[in-house]
Amino acid sequence: MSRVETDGSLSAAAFESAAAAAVQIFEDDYAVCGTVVRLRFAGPVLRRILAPALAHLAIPPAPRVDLTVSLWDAQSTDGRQHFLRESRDRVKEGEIWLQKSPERIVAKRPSEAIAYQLDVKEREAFYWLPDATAVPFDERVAPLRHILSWWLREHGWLVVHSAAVAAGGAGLLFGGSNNAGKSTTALSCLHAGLGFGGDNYIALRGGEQPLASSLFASASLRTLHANAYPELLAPFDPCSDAQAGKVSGYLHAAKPASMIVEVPIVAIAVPMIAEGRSSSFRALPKSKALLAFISNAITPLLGKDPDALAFLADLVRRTPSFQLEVGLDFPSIPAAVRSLLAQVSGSQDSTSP
Amino acid sequence: MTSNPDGYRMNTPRITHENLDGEVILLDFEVGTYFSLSGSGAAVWEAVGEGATLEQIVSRVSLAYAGDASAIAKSVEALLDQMEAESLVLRAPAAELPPATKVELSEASQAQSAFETPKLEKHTDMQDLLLLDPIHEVEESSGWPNRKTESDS
Repeated sequence: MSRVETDGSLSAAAFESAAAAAVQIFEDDYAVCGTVVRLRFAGPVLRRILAPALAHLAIPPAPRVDLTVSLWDAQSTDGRQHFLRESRDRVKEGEIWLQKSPERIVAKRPSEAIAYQLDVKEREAFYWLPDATAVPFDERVAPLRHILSWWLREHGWLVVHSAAVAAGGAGLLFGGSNNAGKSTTALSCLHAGLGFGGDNYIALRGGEQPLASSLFASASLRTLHANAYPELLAPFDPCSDAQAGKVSGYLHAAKPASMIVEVPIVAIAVPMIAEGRSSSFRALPKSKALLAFISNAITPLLGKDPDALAFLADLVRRTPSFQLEVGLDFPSIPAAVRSLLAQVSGSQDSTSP
Repeated sequence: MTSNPDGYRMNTPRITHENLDGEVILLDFEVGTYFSLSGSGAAVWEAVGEGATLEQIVSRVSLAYAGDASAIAKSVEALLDQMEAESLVLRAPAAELPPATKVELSEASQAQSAFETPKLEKHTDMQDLLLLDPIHEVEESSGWPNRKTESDS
């Protein structure tokens, strides 16, 4: 019978035990918002499932590491169960329980017994689950988003639920409610060769020149979008989250040169599906832009973040804001985006990402 | 307007707020709702932030806007009732308001523009995002955190 450890924390010793059983540790370094994050996998199974979404951020082995994340599962390593699933009648699927202190942030996804932990001062984090082959789709699309959002917040970044594209080195950040056209816009831009930072989670840095940084080169697309741009998405295997009516996969394989790591935000836009064929921008009052961003951009990944509103308000104050009327003619979208970015940034070169 | 010795204060830190172009955006993370406050509402919110009695808030708005005094008082009182119902403001006995920051009528500006009825709009679409990443902060306990239940509170 498997041993169950429920002492409330994961540890380096627990990882080493798992790694010994898995025989080999795989280490991969990534440049994430100016920090070096090293992922240490106990064995190959979980690495194969989680690492591809971060492939566009991969860097050669770094001499200095800012955060080390140890990841393992019980099934393919030592079999030790650190936490147990809660019964489905007690918790909702995907629900996260979060506990914060200045030294440590821990969370548990009780329906799948996934555990996340960040030890802030030690710059060490842990990710554990019972079986790597049962990683939920949203964890494959946006792996480690909880740990990364906690870590990046400590370093002045805010992870938001947004999309970002770029042309000529100038970035456009999209906010707004679900089904407003963010994914349609971002994917049509990627298809047209614009820079692509993501259509789901984006890291933002405030200040005089706000920055957007890419986190995941993956997407979970509604069937409409996946069918419109079939060459952009390399689906997971198994490839679809049929229950949610979505297809999930990786974007970087088709357009590696279009993946942007970090870009200055020169404008923000709130898409809105329009009835006409062409797409166009018009100025949007800042209060309306902030309202649109609040509705969907502030993720609860951090729990209650009392500074998130002030962060977004500062970004909106500093940045021209627009409404994007998304037309039915998809190629008109990137054309409008290129034109806006060239106009706002004063750049003549809107053809490069 | 009924005479009311009570004052109002913002329900911080639960409520965070920002003023953009004269419109106040208020966020209640506890329940995942946010609000926009327009018209003369920003003046009301500013007075609440300084700690003021109902009469002081009404006086400040009356001096800042041209309009029928009783209509202004009625609108302000209705707004404060609405904000209290939404837990955006809390009542505070006048004696507990910080004296140094009470609204001084002599400092209020003279009437500049026609009175605009304060308008509080409630938005609940943040709930969609909370469903995408349904996170619950839990209380510290021995061992692994357990979700706080109503019986614990």
